[in-house]
Formats: sequence, C-alpha cells, structure tokens
Amino acid sequence: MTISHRIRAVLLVPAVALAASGALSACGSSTATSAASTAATAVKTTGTSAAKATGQAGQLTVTDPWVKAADTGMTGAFMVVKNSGTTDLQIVSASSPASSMMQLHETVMDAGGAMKMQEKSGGFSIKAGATHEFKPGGDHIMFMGLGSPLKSGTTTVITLKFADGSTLPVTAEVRTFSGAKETYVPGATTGSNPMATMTSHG
Amino acid sequence: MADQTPTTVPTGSSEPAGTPRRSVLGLGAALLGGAGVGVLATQLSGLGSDANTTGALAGSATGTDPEWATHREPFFGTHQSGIATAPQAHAVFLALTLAPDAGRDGLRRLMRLWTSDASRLQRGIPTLADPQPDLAGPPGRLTVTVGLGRGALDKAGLADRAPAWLAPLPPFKVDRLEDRWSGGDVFLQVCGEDPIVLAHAVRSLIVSAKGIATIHWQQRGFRRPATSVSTMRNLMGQVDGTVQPAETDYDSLVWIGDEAPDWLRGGTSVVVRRIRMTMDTWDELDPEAKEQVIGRRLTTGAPLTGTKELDKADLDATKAGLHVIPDFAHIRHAAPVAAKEKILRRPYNYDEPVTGAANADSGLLFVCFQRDVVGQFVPIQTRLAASDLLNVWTIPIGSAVFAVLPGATEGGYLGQALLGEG
Repeated sequence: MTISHRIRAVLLVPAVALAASGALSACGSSTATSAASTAATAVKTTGTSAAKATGQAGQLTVTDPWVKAADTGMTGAFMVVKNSGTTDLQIVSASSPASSMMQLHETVMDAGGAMKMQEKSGGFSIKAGATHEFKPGGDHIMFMGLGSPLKSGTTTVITLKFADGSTLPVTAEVRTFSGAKETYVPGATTGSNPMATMTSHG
Repeated sequence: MADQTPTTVPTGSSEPAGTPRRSVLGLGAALLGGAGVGVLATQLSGLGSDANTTGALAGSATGTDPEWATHREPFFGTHQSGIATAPQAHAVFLALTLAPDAGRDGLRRLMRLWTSDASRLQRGIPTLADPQPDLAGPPGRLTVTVGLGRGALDKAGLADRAPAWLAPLPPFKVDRLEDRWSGGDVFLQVCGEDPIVLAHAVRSLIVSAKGIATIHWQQRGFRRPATSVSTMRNLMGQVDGTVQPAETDYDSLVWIGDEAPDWLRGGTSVVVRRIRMTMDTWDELDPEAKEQVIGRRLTTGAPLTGTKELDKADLDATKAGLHVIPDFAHIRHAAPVAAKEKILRRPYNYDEPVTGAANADSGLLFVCFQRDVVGQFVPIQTRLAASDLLNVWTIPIGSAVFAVLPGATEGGYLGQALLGEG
C-alpha cells in the first residue's frame, strides 16, 4: 500500500460516521491500527480455557484475547492464535453470551486500494504450526449485537467452534480502545462487492 | 530479598535472554540495606564499564542496551514493587477521583485493569489494546505502585474496612496546602529509568481508568540516574536520603502486619507531600549557614560531627557550650525519639516552569512509606513543624495519605482481598 493510500484510509475512518455515504468502505488501514498488534510480545494469559480441549480445539493456543469495550451495538474481539498441532485446523464460528450474533471478519483491500471489512466465508484456516493474529484493522471476531454493555475491566467468554465440531472457550479482557472504528459492510462476504456501509462498531 | 527475584516470562519477553542482572540487584540491595559506599561503588563500576563497552552511552543505534534499560522489576509478589525497589531516576505520581457511579464494581474493574497493565508493562510488554506498543520496552526498571485513599473505600461502600489512619494528616502549622496537590481517592506511583517508557506507561494506566476515575493531581519528579554512585541531592543542594531503615527492619517498620485489616497485610502506607522550596531566599544564605540549618555538610553530606556521609550524627556533641548540630537543625528533629520512628523515604525532586515573580518553582516530592503513619511519620513531622529552621525555606503545599495495597499474585489482582466478588 502506498503512503498516500495509507493516509487516505486513515482520514476516511472518522469521515465514515458523518458521511453515511454508500460508497465508503474503509475498514481502517493497517497503518492506523496495526500498531495494536501484540503478537511479537505475546504473553500467555489466562485467556485460554483451563479445561482440556479435544480435537482441533485442543491444537489451538490463544494469547492475549481482548474485546473493545462498548455499551451497545457492535464491537470487535482480538487475539493471537497458534495451531500447535501437526494438522491444519479451521475456525468456523464464534459465540458469546454477550452477543446473540457473532461473525468472523476479514479485512481486505478493494480494487480502489481502500480497506474493507466483511464476513470471512467458511471461517479461518490455520495451518499446522502457524500463528494467526486477529487485530484492529485486520481479521477480527465481531460481536454483532451486544445484549448488555461490555465494560472495561470485566471479562467475557468467546467460544470458538472448529470444523470438526470441537469448541474452545476463551476468556477475553474487555478494554477501552479508541481505534477499531472500522465500518462494517453488511451482506458482504469473501469475494462479494460491498455496496453499502453501516455504522461503525465501538 | 525474595521479591526482587526476576520473574520468568513464559513467552515473548522483550528482554534479551541471559541479560545479567546481578549488578543492578546488587545496587538495589546495597542502597536498601544501607550497605557501605564501597560495596555500592564496586557494583556500579561494573555497571558503568558494561555500558561503556556497548557504546550505549553514546546513543549508538547498534549497541546493546545497558542493563538498567533492560532490567525488569518483578510485579507479582508479597509486596508491590516501587517501595523496596532502589529508586529509579524518574517518577510520576497521580491521584485519581473515582467517578460517582463507579462504586465497588468500578474500583474492582480499575484494579483488574491496572494489574493487567502493570504486570505487562513491568516486563516491557505492551498492554492489551496498546495503541503505541513500541514504547513499552525495554522496561528500564519500570514499577507501578497502587494505593487507595479514604475516599475510594467510602465510595465503594467499604468505609467500615478502612483503617483509622487512612485520613488526611493532622494539620501542621507550616502547612499551606492546596487542594490541587492534596488528597485523592486512588494513588498511582509510576517510576522508571527511561522517561519515554515511563510516559507511555502512565498514559496507558490513565486510559485504562477512562470512565472509572479522573485525574485529581499529577506530579512529576526526578532523581539521579541509575548509574550514579552517590545519594541523591535535593534542589537546595543537600544530600537527601542518607538515613534509611535497614532492610532487615522492613517487616517491623514498612510492611503492615496483623494489626491491620486483612486486605492490607503485606501492604504499607504512603505519605506524599509536595514541599515548595523558596530558592530565592535560600540562595541568600552563606554555605556555613546552610550547613547549620540542615546539620550536615553540603559537599559530603556528612553530619557536622563527622567526616563522611554515613557517619552517625552525634546530637549531644558540644563546642563552646553549644551543640555542634544546632538545636534548630533539621536532622536533630528528624532523628527518631522512639525507636520505631523511622520511615522509608523515597523522595523525588520537582522543577516546574516559573510563573510570577519567583525565579524557581522547585521543591521536593517527599514520599515515604511506613507501617504506621500515626506512630512513625506524625511524630517526626510534628517535631519538624515545631522546631526545624528549614521550615523558613520549605513550604508544604500538598499532602496525601494512601493505603498501599499488598502485592498481587499471578492470576489475581491488586486489592482482591478487599474487592473480591461477592
């Protein structure tokens, strides 16, 4: 991405909420938010379930799970996951008592160079031994409709579900965060062409 | 000192593997234990040569960080760090006001957030949701120390669990206290050798408090750098902090025991007083007069009855019928009358932009830790307020008392024994 692209994408983010333009699809640029990455310095936290998971769930190590605090509407969850197994695995969905609907989202660049966020069709495949980062401005787990406020300093459980049906509950810290203002494009999935924007989450 | 043992970080520490820690730990032990200057100098000469050979002092981009930069102070333990820790060069002190609707739940959430933040930052690891993660390390001996004021317990509905001493100090006639430097519900002391890392840590902690507490006051202080071999000086030029409790007496003089509510055992109390120095009139005194005021030599810090800084002051010595250490001298009244009247001083200088007609806004952030505020600190301050000639040039303009929580255990959080669920 060129520098001018980066700047444009950063500037677009706050404009989205005001403009309510159908054409805008900025999801935040990597420049704007990738700094929140903690992969390089990850610490094992209490986020991983204490219970012994089986199947694909048993292969996944979760580090630094957190959720952006929000009172209502949508918000995002972020974490670093590592497939410690010798076979590939597939995260197909997520659920949480905090939100009746959850989606797995990816952030991709459209033909015009802008970043857009959309549901990841089929979920995320993690190769054997690979690490995958869910981070602001990148792939993330989306709370589509909070049932009650997620307050900073509390925790919430996100249960990841895998292709083999196994599940892994992850306890995530709720944190105040000013970024992750990506605009969600409803109806868009991998390979589709987003036509409309919705209100930002968080 | 068990709580000074570096913790093991399971993964991804920013600290280079195998970094030697002995000299900094030795420095801490020497300073805290009141060991001789010779020991101190030996430890530090090792530190200094390390730094020189790496080229780090020259700011080389390719050199290895000196040990003070990469050294980690452990966060988890019986006691919080930042108390028995050898003082770092830079400090920021904050008092926050709990939001009216925060309550016990809000205070608990704040303690959970700060525990998470501090335990990571002290390892040089970014906080969760850190917008500037590259500023988190190397940690440079960062410490975060948390305390609660009376207001925090009142607002959390826990007034019945507050010790009696958790209240403003009794008024002293020398006080000219300003609200903007006094009181507060929640206390943070953040210290470090690297002011950039420190600034980032402070901001991270403030951001975490968003919606739960707001800043009441914020004070910044500085001391000698970690590589300095001598006791710090205050901005009046005096060697400041020579006499300290022996480390072996911390259990009786610093750490709170069975006399206190259970949630405070292993904690301590802190007194934070902002002492303005009237530098313009202090400048008018001759060196000999300045030495008479304090009772010590300016150059060496030695008591007027001795030749070296660590010589014990002889308060009874006379010359021509007068006390060698004058009746009005600071160290005479600061000296303990009862054996327990000893406090762990951890002061920092402040020097702020000049306003008005004065040529300085300088002073001392007097910070001391003790097991018993009423039995240890108050008698000393009462004598000083009554008879210390230094009062002519020093004016207390801020004052606060906080209960410093015991340390957190891994997996737990600060204040858990007070705020735990249920």
